[in-house]
Amino acid sequence: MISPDRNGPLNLFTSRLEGITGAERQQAVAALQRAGLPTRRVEAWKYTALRALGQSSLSAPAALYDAKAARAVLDDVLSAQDSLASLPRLVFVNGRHAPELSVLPKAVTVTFFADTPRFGTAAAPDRDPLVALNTALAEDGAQIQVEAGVDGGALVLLSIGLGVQGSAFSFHPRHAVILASDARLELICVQAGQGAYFHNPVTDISVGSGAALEHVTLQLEGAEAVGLGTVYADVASEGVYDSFALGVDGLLLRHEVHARLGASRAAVHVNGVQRLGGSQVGDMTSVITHAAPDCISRQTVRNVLDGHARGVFQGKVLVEQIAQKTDGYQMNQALLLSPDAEIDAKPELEIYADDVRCSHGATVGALDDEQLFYLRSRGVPEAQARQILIEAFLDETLGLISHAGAQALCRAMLTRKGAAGESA
Amino acid sequence: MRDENQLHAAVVELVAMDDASIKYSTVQNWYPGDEEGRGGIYNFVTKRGACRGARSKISWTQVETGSAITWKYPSCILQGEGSVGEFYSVAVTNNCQQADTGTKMIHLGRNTRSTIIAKTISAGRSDSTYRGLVRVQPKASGARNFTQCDSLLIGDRCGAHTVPYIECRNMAARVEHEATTSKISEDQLFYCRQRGLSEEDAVGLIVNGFCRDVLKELPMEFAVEAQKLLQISLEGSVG
Amino acid sequence: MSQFLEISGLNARIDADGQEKQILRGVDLSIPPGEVHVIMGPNGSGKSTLSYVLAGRDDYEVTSGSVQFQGQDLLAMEPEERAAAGLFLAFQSPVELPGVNNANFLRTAINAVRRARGQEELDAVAFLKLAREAAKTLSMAPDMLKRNVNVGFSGGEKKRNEVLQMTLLQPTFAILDETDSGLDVDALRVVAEGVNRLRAPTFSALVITHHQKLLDYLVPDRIHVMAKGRIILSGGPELARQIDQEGYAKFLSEAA
Repeated sequence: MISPDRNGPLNLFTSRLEGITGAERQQAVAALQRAGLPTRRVEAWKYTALRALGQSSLSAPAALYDAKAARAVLDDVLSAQDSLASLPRLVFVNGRHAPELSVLPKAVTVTFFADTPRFGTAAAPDRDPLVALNTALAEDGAQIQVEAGVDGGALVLLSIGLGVQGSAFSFHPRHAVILASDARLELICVQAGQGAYFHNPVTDISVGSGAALEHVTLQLEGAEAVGLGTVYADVASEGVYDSFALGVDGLLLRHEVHARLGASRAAVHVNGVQRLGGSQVGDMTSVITHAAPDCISRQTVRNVLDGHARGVFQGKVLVEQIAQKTDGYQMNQALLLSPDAEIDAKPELEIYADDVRCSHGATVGALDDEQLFYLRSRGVPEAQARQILIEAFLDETLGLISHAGAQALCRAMLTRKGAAGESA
Repeated sequence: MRDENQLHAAVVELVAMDDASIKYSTVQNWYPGDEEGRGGIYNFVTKRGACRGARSKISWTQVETGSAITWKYPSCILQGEGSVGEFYSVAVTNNCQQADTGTKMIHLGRNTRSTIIAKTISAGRSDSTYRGLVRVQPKASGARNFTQCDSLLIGDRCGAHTVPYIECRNMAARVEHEATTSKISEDQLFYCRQRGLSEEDAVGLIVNGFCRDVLKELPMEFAVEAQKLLQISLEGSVG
Repeated sequence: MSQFLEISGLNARIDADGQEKQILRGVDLSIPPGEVHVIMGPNGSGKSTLSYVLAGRDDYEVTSGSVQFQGQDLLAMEPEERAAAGLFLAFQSPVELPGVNNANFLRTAINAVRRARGQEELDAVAFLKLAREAAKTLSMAPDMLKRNVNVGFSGGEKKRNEVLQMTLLQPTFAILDETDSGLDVDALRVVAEGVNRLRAPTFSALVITHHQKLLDYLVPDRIHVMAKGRIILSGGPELARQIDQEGYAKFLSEAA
């Protein structure tokens, strides 16, 4: 018997979880039935409730979609930063690959989960219920592979969600990115859409020795949509996983990264920006595990919260006993623009090695009155002065995105959000 | 008798009214058990404080060197306008000890201020955790918090953990948290020994320097006692 | 009586990143009492390693050779025993000790050394009087005693602090490891005067430097040139001037 109190909103999926076949999927269903979907009593979900998923059962998306609406979302993203139009792209609509909108890359190999389902090795359905849900229900996804020593260039992975009036549905893409040794790739994941849906992607990443992956994720989901993504990244010796997440649109957003530094001299960056307003909730959660000596991790997350929005930051840095000479730095800062905005932060250090340099910091505050006054005294109108100071607050963090086009797209989306906020 | 565990479960409640100020200092040195972790006190203590009055102040200072396991989170509910909460803590663990300690600062009133300085030192196979909550409620305009948590590890079989919770529901508040983890560097030890200090004295000096910001909050006679205790607790942890 | 300091056939290596690196390759050097000797030599020749090995830093492994210091086997002693025996190393990069008050550190060190030498310990009042006088002589700001050891000190302040410690610990043998690097002329004079004040028939010093300027104030007795882990040449004070004008290259090629 599934009870919402003990199992969270698992009852929304009851009918879809019946009669599932395949060993991995069945194990995932069993794990879900044991643990349910998380409630706020689960420590990792202390600050984020899944109530936004609503009360109605969530079905699989319809096979057909509104081609015109999908094209409009694609055009909208490309118009915000036209340099992206020339890049190869993989487009998914409501979780399924849409070949007619995609432009396949040449330097990298792409296969699809729908044709050859592979669940990968890093994901932990036993521990993470949303990953178990994905494992049970995954239908499609991109499997991107870059051969040893190859520079795969930049690739756009666009996931379009199109809500349909009167229909509640969810999709659970299963992506994989595998870089062999000394390979390179810049992956720009744009999650965009309109209306209501539940998007629950899982991305399994392996960065080979000496390889480098830049992974930029933009959450621009539909206004009533819930987007909860989980990324697992395993980084081999001297590999670099450089991740940046931007949370902008959606009713409830969560970007969760589990990065594991598995061999010496590897590096991960888990950076992000959230710019939320209205009654949005945005959650950036990460667990960075130093499992080998001489590795570096860097994390800077900045939040700008307006209206009744609530930002959540949970960042854990775990340094295992073997991970001597670890260099870890984590910083989370929040700017509250409205009396009703809220930030909940839990920066966490768990350290079992002694020869380490680890530090973290967190700050919360409002716009600086003196700076605001200074700008206004020089003739800048208040709204514009606020916008200048907000941009200044985010500027340095956005500068951490190496790919120029991806950085420009993030900036464009933030400017758009800021303009919408000021006019509201 | 010494192989068994004893439980110490005290409750302390403080209330400060208008313009009142309470300073509560503890130096805890219960039996920590033997080197293998046999015996020792379970020190599970509830301590809470209410700053009810305007401009009231509660200051908790603690030096925790003993007990097999310590769980202790002295809190301050900052209700009165302009009230102040402080938490200064040193926790030292050696051998198989575990200390899980911190504070809760709940800002309810306007212009309330809190300061948290927590220093943990872990040696041997011990674990030391700072766990704390800073919450700023919607009416606490002008609230300020500053938190500094520093961990020092001695040896590679111990653990040091920092778990702060920061919940801010007021834009006219300012919350700052900083944490660092480090070890006593070989350079520092050698420098002191070159000047004639023994290794144990050098560790004592460096550890006392690391804890200075907290020790200076203790009453004079306590501070002297606490400094000696720190050194005794860490005996045999180096070399 | 045996020599004051007698280094013979000293070989030492360091284990860096899992690779063993031989740095000292047979250093022979003797310093009689009452003399100031200078070691010059190109970067990486092993000068700082020699000073660390003499002071007892355990990152370095002495593989062969011996060091006799006033009739004692120096290499068998702990760093603090060497300090008590009268050896003082002025560090090239003085170490910061956050939270440790400079005066408290000095007093702890002085009393540890006095205890080991069988002298009476200084009480707080007597110590402060001594320390203030010494600081004044070195034209140090009075608040330097109150600040944390070397934390936030400028390069010059750190070096002055080393000289202050040397003055108060009253060593019989001081090693100055590039104490003059990065100092202006005034600070240089302060360092030299600090050493000169200690000069006595029972005090010797080993000065590691690149510059002739410090030697103008110090007036050394012997100059040694070190290269590739050995002393390749020794001579009188004129050798330093010659190196200052002509560089090392000539001497290195002659030695090769």
